[in-house]
Amino acid sequence: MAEAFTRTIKNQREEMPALLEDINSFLTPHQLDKKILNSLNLVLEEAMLNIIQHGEATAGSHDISVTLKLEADQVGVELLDNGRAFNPLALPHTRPNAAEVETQKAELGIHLVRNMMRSMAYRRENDKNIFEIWIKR
Amino acid sequence: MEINEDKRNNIDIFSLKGRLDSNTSSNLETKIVDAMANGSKNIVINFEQLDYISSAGLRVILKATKDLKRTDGKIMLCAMQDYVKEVFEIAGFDTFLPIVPTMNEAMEKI
Repeated sequence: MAEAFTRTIKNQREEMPALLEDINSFLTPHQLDKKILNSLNLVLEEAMLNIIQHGEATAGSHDISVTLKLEADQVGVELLDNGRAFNPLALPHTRPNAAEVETQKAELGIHLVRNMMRSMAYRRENDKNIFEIWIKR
Repeated sequence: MEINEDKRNNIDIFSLKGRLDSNTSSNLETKIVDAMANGSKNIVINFEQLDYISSAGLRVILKATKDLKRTDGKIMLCAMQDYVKEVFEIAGFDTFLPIVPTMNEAMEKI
């Protein structure tokens, strides 16, 4: 069975550093390649910031549950939140130019995620957003 | 993230160590803004010991480049680890930011 890490945090940026630190501690014994670890950190940071920013722009406090799944040939990240419907996959596919990076913060993050992942999926289920990203191990 | 500051031949050198991300990028932004407020026009950022960068870090570098351009200043980015360079490349920033392999080259070209 795949090993998993799960944690629930509030949709606040201040919660991110401790969460990432705990995830990296969880991953340490698994001796993942440094490149995979960095990609995983990037995917997590960018995807979570998108969700947090969307939450800030819409309605108050909600929870984000983060689950990490380690499989033989891939690592999965599942982000589940009870905020308003938000599909990160619907964000534009084009690479943002410099001016857009300065003004439209969400786009560069999701652009990086798209280039780091093997697959990703979004669904809305029981009033929750579920965003799943897989990285090749 | 640790930021070491050095000044040589009127060039401000910032050497980064650790992670330049949404949690730490404002520290670098403050250092650069302060240096510019003190009249700095030439800045070298040494990435040799930087392990990780995210979009928040890229955004600070982009802002510094634009701010320096506005005051006829210059920036050089050097000694990036492969992974950090890859993030610049995926973002397309390598096409318009001055990235060189070594610190010596950065100091010569600025």
